[in-house]
Amino acid sequence: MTKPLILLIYISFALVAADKGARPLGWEGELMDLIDTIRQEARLTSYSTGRGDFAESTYAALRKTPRHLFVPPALRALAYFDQPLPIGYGQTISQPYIVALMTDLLEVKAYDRVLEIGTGSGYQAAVLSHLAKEVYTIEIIDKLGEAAQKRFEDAGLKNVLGKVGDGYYGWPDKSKAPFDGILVTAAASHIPPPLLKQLKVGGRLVIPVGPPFQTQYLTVVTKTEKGVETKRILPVQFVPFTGAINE
Amino acid sequence: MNRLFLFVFGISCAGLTYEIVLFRLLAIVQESSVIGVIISLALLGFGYSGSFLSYLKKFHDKADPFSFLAYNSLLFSISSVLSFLLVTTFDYNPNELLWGWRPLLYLFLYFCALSLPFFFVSNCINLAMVFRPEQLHRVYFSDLVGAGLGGLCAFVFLEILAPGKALAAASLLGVLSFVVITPLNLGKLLGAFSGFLVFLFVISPKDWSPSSTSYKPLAKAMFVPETRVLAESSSAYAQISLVESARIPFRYAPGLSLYFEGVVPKQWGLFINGGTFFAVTQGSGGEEDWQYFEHTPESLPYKLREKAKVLQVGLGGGDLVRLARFHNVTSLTVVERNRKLFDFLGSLEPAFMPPFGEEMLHSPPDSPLSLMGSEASYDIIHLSDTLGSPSAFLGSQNDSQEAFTLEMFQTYRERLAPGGLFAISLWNHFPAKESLKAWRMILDTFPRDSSLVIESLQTVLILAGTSPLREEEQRIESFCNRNAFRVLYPLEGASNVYTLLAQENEEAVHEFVEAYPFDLTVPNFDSPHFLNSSKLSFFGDWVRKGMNPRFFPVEADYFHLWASLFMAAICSILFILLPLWPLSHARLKASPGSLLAFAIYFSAIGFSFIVIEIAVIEKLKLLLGQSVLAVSIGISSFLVGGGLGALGAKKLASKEPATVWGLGLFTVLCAYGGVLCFALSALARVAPSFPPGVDLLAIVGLIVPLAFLMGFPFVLGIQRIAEASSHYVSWAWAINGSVSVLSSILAQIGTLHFGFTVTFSAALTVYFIAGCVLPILRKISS
Repeated sequence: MTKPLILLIYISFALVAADKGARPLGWEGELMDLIDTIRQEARLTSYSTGRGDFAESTYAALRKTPRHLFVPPALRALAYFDQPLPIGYGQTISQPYIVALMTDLLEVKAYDRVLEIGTGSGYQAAVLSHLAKEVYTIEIIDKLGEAAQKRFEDAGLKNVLGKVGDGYYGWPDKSKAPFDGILVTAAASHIPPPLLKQLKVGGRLVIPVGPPFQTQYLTVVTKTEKGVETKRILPVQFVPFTGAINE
Repeated sequence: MNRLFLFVFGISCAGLTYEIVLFRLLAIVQESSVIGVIISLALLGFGYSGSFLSYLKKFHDKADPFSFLAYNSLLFSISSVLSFLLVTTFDYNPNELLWGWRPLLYLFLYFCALSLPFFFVSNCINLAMVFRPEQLHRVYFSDLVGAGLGGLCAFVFLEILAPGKALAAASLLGVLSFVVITPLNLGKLLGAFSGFLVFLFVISPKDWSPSSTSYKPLAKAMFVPETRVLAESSSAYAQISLVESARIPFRYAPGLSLYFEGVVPKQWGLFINGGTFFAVTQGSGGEEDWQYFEHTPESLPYKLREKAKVLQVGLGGGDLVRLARFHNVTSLTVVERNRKLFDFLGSLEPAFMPPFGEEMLHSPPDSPLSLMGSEASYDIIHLSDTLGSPSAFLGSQNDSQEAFTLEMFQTYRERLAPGGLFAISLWNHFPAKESLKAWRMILDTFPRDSSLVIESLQTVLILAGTSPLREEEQRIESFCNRNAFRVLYPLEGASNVYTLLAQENEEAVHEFVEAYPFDLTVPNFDSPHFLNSSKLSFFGDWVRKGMNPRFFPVEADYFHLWASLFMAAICSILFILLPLWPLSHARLKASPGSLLAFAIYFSAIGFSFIVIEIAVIEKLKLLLGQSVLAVSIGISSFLVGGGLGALGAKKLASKEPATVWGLGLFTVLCAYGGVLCFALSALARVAPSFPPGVDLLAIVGLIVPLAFLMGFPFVLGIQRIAEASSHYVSWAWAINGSVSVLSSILAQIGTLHFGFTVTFSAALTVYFIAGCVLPILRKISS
């Protein structure tokens, strides 16, 4: 009676070991687990998002972006959990699922020029850099913006250009506009009209909209020849989006 | 001997002052502040003081009593400041409760740190009673009068001092108590000197405001470069901060049309308690600055009724007033609970369009409730949660919002002139929550064919008239088309949540409401919790959806309440019950039935006392519209009344037959409780017409008799079991304390879900059960 039991336990251990063995050790393995989690959640939220799964290119971009480089050293052990993490200044690096969702909603193509408002740690811009031709990103808080820029340089992301400043008016160098996609990672009580102006016809703007400092709704705005179309996706919570006046 | 009573008076006063000041301070530094949690903290400190003193019984006889009291009062003073400073170092983000364990650790530390000053206060009062048992009634009396005065002190301190200084003032009261009681001359000298230093700090012109968690909106705003606080005003009501972000100004235009191509003018940020945000829009003086108003749904009622006589509920940052001025209204009245907000906005340098002009603004009534006794009528009544939330000063989503209740909606309708319009602007949540509650109230109050719902991307405007809106149909349609706003009701050939609620089939409506993920119960004066839409079944729903934070169907403040309940349970087990277990559990020798009766009795009276106290405070928030005043009046009345009752209980306990007297007492208590429940509900309608101060007297006059009766049961119970063994007394304190710690939070949850009357009645029923158990307690003693 005991022999089959021992055999069963042995086989179980072997199977677990084999399963672990299929995955690389270290952060790459954790990243693959994280992507599995995101896939599951993408299916769970398909009713709201209208997407059964995200594009393989989105997952590929996530695989190329080591998240632990974008979180504070003290929290690196948590970098591959599907959760937001504090990055200081009352800000957080978004939950990886939200990063994947926003990236997927933007539907970036290889020749696209993308604008991101709210650089934060730089993780979202880094993910986008693997999909788009050029990524422009603006951050309000000096220290966050400067730290993110250094991370881009360290990671060799040459197609990402960061600036510290106000995102309300979009990218200050108007010659770069219009953009194929604009992604806002800060909450807004309204959609800033200048951002819509910097969006190409047919382009997509992904933005959390709602009361500042409360739950907002991730919204996709598509610019058309006739005007704009909007679709609310999911409730989220982002830090507020402020904007400077043109003087 | 006299200085012992003076000491007890002082330290009790200091303790209650600290408790109420803590309520204001936590509202400023933390994301969510709930009065039940702070009362729970205080009760926890008192509870584990009882357990601690059980260990010190032998020590009492040998120690110099006055030194012992002096040390404890000094420790209160030190810990009241240090423990608060300690908790401000925790970067507490309540939203993180959904995905991380760190907030639970912080909550645990909050409970440990903030209950410590109450522990020292309790040590002082309990030890004074132990040291002078023959003068127990005088010690108790000093304790009660001191606590009663503490409520008043806290209110005065918060009115005249910055919140941080009010904390120092509470600590100073502890130092003064130390000076009174210390037997050492050197101690007196040092105490007086340190007290003088604290006093200098309190009266110094420089303000001290505690730093908040970096997740509070004001703290987040301050991280933006070149942001500064331009002006700040603090009172018992709230802390108001006007913030300028020079490099990157605020831009707040809820509901702004996607077709608007202009620029929103510069704004300042107005933060209430570092949390609720409003914009104070500046401008260069030109009309073009205000063109953006034309592209928000909120301007629709003003377009439909030109040259109107307008009533607005809630001032916010004054943008609603500017909107009305932009549309040339002929008369404007603003109802705002916090008069200081008028003064604050009025005192700002009018370099931009003044927030309001004397010629238009009528003398504001204090409270929306005052409209119930008014005869005035208006062409437009506007209630906006986006620009001028009338509930901004209460602080939490769990608080009452009297302006958004069925009774007030009926009043708004009564105050409308013929052809008048009632407008409500709300955030457009997805799935809809508050807007559906408001819509249900509109359907209950106004004719369906005169009601309208339109949405922008961010907001919902509900419009209701006294007569059908047929004549305005074309203008409404054109306005919506110009701005990409959608009409959600009336809607032909399609359905949505608004049309489903408006259908005639009541059974179908009922089914829809039951199945909806959020609670759509219509708020009323009994349960005025408009902003809380969490269902009690949320845990089950959440577990069924894989405990995914994305599907968490409750508000953060509400979940924080449950987390606090969990932590209160952990702390009361760890600090009150477990320490007592090795000391005396083996010495409780009675039949299981008697022990059960013992546990039921002391749990029941602990539960009922606190639940009634919290439920009444919740009701007072509705009546007074001010949390600190409600808490001060509520706690002081219950403490003074309950203490006087406890003094009277000694005489009653000696009367025979005791069982008959005891049962009689509980019957009278429940009967008067019923009267109070009815009277407080009725007071909401009549109190606003009382002269100033009379409403407070009426409230105190109603509460104190009940509190007096509620002071009896504990003393009656203790006197009966004390004959059996002193260990029963320790356990009675511990059980009563632990249940009280939990009940203060349970009461809050109860009023949120079941309303004042049900919660209050449940507590009275439990009191009655305690009364039935009282005769069995005699068996333990015999």
